[in-house]
Amino acid sequence: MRGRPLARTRTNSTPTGSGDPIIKYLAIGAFSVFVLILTATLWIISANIMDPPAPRSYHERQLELLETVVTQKPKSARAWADYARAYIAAKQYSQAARVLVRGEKIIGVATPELTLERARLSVARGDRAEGLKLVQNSIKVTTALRQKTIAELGAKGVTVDPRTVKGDEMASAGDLEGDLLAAEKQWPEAVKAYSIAVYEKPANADYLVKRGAVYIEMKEEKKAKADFEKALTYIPGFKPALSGLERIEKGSAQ
Amino acid sequence: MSDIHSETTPEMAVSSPSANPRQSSKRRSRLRVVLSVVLVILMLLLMTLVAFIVKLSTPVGAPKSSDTASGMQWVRSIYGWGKSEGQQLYGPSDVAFGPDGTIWVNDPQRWQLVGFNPDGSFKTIVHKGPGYMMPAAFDVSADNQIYIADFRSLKIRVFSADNKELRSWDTSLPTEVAVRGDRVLVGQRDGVAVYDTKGALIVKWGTRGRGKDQVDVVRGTAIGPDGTYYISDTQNHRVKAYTTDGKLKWVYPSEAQAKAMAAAAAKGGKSKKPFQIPAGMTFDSASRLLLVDPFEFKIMILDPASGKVVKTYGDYGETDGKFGYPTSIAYDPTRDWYAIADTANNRVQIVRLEGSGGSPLSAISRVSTGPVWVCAIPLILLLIAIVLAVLRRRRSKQTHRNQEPSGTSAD
Repeated sequence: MRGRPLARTRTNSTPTGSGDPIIKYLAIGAFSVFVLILTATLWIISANIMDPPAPRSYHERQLELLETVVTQKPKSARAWADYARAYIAAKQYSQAARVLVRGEKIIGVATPELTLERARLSVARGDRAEGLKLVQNSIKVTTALRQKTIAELGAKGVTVDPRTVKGDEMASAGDLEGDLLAAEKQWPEAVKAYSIAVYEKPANADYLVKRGAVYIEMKEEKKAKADFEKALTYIPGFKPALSGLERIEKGSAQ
Repeated sequence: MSDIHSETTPEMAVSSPSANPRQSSKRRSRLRVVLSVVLVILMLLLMTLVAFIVKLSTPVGAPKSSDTASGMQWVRSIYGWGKSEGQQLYGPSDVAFGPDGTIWVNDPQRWQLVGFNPDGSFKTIVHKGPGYMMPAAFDVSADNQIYIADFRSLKIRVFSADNKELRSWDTSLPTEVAVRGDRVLVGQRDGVAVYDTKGALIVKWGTRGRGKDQVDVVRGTAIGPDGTYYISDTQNHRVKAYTTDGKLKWVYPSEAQAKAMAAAAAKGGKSKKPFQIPAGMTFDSASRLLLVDPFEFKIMILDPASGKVVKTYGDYGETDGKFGYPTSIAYDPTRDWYAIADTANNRVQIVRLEGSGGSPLSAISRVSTGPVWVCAIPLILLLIAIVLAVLRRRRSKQTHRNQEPSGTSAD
């Protein structure tokens, strides 16, 4: 009879429950996961992935170069805008937002360049309405700044023909506004926006092709054809322009 | 995990307050809950850590498969070996793999070759001072010796991977070099020469010109698995194959083919010459002949029996997976990937191509780039812990078996 208590003690075991198979499995599981965590931590430390010594992709390379540029030219809105745009292109939206905040803080004002990048960021994050508002604001501010500069120069006796004051920034803003309006099928407004881009950079085949495509939607084939043909004079054999002309031909054949 | 209480005497078990079954059951369930919570927390921690590793080890803006040519997979780009301007690659024009997977790249502006580990990290530099040699092209042999076409002193120089010059010999205007087995194929501006690995001339042919038996700058060389010599006759816009004794096997496009293509193109047909300036070439595990054409911005797969283009990959661009005047290509059979000297983009791109004939084991080699050895430390500890637990359990079972008869006899 004295053998019985011994058997009972072994199976029930025990205040700590060390004989309980579920507890055993849980303990083994926890220990194994702990070992895996240790493995992963060691790998992170030894692989130095927190701070790779050299860029590993085109975007990393661009970001590194642009970080250098903003360090060297902290007051350049263009440099901050380029840096933010590189983050947007790399789909690093939070970083892009941080760069824009840093830029605005250092420059002290939301310049049209930075506003344009904010618009791009909003569009990239899916907020097209906010993007459109910002890009229109950027165009408005740029126009006002230009007028102010021309007036100031005029006051100093320097006459400037407003038609000669052009820039990539405004062209880019017109292009983005055109894209957003075209996506909403607001064709006449889109043409107006693309026309800003074409006015600023008349030799840009992309802008001409985009405006031509909108003209097709508006059934203004003659104007569309003129845009596509002009694009082809800048880039002979430019595929989007050729396919635009093909569309017009097909349309008129039907 | 051994049961220390199993050795408790019945008297002790009865007298101990913890032996109360209700109490012990309560403690057990509490312990189960605590361990379950710990396990869940550790699992969450592990998942977070894995997600963190994946995020950090994926380069920012890495292209999706849809961003690159169909059938081509981008692995990584190598831009340099540090963050300073002097540590960036500048117009690399040749690339080769060492037998240990080292990615060797020439840095001709700085008179050196730079070696990178398969994970893209810096390994070493082969350099003998400014102006010593102009490594226009190079190749690495199976015994890890680097054969450099030194265009400055018109020599082939052989280096070890640890920067020791082993030997050198004179040659005429070397523009490219390929090594396979005991043969060193040297492409020149005005011909082709084959040496043994000690530098003894075996055969030499060609003069500079446009004729069938002439060449005009050989910017690509490869030795086929059967010993056939392949060259890019770069400025004549054609590719040629020669037998081991230097007899022309084929030329593509031939003069007649080139004329027919030009005539067809003039008539508005779509036919055009296959190459603009064919450059670096290599063979892969599927015995395919691969070529890069800088002006086509493409990797081309050629039929080794005729030189005809079977397939092309790539397009012009600055982003990853695109090319800006690629001038050289090399293949690493162990990891089943290709390195391309993307000259105008100042980088080397590592890509994989479909149908390369790589072994399934190459996937393991690719994954094991980087400090995988550190992962072994905790895993070895885990293994030791398991072994110890098993041994202890066996010992404890043995003790029980030994104790049971004595317990019965005490009864």
